[in-house]
Amino acid sequence: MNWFNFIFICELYIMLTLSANIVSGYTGLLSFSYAAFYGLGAYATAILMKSAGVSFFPAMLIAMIFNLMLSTVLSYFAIRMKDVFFTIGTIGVQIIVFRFFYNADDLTGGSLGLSEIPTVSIFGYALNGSRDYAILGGVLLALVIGFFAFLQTTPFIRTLSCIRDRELGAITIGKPINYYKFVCNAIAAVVCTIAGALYATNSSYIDPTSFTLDESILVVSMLLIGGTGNLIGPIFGAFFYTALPELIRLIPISSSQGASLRLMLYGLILILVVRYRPNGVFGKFRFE
Amino acid sequence: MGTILEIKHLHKSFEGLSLFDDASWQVPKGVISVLLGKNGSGKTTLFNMLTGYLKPDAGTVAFEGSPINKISPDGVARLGIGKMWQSPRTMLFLNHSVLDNLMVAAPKHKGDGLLNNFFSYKAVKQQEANIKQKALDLLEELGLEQYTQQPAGTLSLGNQKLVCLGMLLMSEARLLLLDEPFSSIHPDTIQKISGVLLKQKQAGKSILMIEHKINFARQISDYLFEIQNQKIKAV
Amino acid sequence: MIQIFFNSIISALMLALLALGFNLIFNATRVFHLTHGAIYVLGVFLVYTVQPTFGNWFAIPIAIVISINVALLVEYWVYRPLAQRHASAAISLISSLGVYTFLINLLAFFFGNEGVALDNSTQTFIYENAYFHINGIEAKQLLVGGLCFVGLTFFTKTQWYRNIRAISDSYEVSEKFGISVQQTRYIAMAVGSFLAIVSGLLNGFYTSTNPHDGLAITLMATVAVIVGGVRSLSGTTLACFVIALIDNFSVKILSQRWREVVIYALLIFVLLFFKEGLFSSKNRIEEQ
Repeated sequence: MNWFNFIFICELYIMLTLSANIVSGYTGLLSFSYAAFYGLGAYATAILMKSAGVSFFPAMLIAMIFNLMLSTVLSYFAIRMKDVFFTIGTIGVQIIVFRFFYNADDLTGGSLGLSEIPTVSIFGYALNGSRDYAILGGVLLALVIGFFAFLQTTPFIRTLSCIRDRELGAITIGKPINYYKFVCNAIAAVVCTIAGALYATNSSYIDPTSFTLDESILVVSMLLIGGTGNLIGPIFGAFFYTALPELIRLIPISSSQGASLRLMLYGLILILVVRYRPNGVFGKFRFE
Repeated sequence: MGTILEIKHLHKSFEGLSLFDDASWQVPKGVISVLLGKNGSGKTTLFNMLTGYLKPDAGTVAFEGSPINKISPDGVARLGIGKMWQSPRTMLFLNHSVLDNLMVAAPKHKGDGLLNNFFSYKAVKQQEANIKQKALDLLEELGLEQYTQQPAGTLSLGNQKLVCLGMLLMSEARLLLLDEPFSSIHPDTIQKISGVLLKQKQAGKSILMIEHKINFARQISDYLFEIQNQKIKAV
Repeated sequence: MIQIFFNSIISALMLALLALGFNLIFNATRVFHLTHGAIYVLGVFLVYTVQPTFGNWFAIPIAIVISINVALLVEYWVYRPLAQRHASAAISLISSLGVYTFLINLLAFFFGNEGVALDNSTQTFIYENAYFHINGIEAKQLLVGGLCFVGLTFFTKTQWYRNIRAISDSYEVSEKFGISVQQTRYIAMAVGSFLAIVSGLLNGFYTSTNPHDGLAITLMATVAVIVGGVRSLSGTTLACFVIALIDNFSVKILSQRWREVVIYALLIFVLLFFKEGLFSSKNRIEEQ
């Protein structure tokens, strides 16, 4: 087992789960389109780097703009649709974006995917191997965690968690809740883009199957098992779920069966957590 | 005496049942007014129309001279109309401390904007400190200082109503709409709330409340209104 | 043209069975029952397993009985505790999605991700002219679907159905009038799941089914329920016909690959602009 690769994957999922935490944990919008953001970040960065020859960081920034546009659409949904119906809408967005990756052959390579994505080079040093990527991921993750940790101390997050607690109360005292939903979706979009860009450049090959609805469900499960409303919960959840497939790999079954078994366990854990431990392991709030 | 809120030619009906038919009304400024009416006469509906939760079928609602019937509920609240719901649970942040409940209600807080927290860090910290002091003072005035750090959900109903009132005072609303503020609470708390309201009146705020007990209403209010035959009339 | 119209009627019938089942369950349990999609495919895979040894006449009843019991088990073990806890709609949706993921991947674990076909014989047309043809399976679909509709019409006249209507308004009030809420929930679950299985089986004899087919069709059914009004069975049926027409024409005009996108775009469109039908206007704002 490649430890650096494991750490790298862990870092990506921690980013995704933290963005799920800001949207679903704080504003209480249960969204299932994180994999769409993740995928759009990966594809946009990959295409820009491969076909337009843009280098990593500018490509990632442009990808962020695409994702911000998608997140604006979701924010609009959040205004128009109430609780479950918003969730169903995000499932729709997730599947449409996935279908786009799958069907737009000219742009995304369709089901065959994109290969030969250039590696990242920083000041002339081309990153090589999973150790380098684990370090780059670690630096970016530290920035993301630093950002969220600082946010925890601000009045902004207090208002957010009040909205989560009682939306009608926040309206009564005149908080522009649509603004908050928009900002949270935007933060999540930006963080997901970072994860996507890292994923694409590390594996140098991406195909649509990495960005399915199952992936979004996985991110939400990570958040659920860890617990919402703080930083340690999502980080623990992401770590736990990344370690799980490594354990399944020890069981002697075919890889596609392994994938099914893994998803089965995810589903089961989701049910059990909701049933027996609605706060998650470290959660501050009950997830609702 | 001026007018703080004015409705003109208001119509509203629900599934064929007409609640308001060409109702016009002026809410006087700087005094306590009480709205009476039978169950189902549309008092709560009227409050919801005044705060943007429901749209009138026809007619206008104007606050301090400018029409507000096209503004969203949170926009109306920012203009300066504070609404206290009949049940405190509707608007309280039950899992947050009483202090947080009050602090979050502060209007025009720089820290409410995401980027301000990063780019004007000092100003936000300063404002936060001021707001905290103001909230603590207010809690003392309401007699809730021993509950400062308790989650709002653990308080008694009467104290929860006081917290709600505190939130509206924090939000610097100029017109307070109170939906049965005195229902089902202890007489001591009634005394406390009416004391606070009288003090607010002296400070220049306008107060409009729904109340059932007519004798008590007479005692506390300067003006009495009643919904009769789909119109609002002075009593 | 006539052919497309005719095909639309059949697919509308199949969709309507699923949607009516969803409608009953949604009204009774208030869960956005995505597991419905798993029940839909579960029947097909059970028949597929039993059929080679025992033949269709034994396999089909067995499949129906087992699948209904699985649905009841989900109600007993997952939804019922959530209802007792007054969990929010979002949390029951997550549970439902967890059950869905679990069941689907259980099937994928044993049968793989490829589709299975219940009937490998090539269908000859039993009636054919210049504009229009019909084969044996289509005739059976019409017949069985029609029978289910007649059965459902009788069901709406029973006390059971009136109880479902009553508990969809209020659990507390219904209990005061002596209606057993839990029993009614079980009944709705059983009848709803029965309809889903019949629909799944009829479809399974027509084309191949893979474990992941259930979600798309279930979400399509929810579109019908939302457009037609959550409280109206006839509205749901009518909406199914409209959707089936749109679906069949979009396949004809665009292509099979973009079919899913059309369905989900429709879903989002409905959620954005038809939300008034979803909420009871009778509720006070505080209670929403």
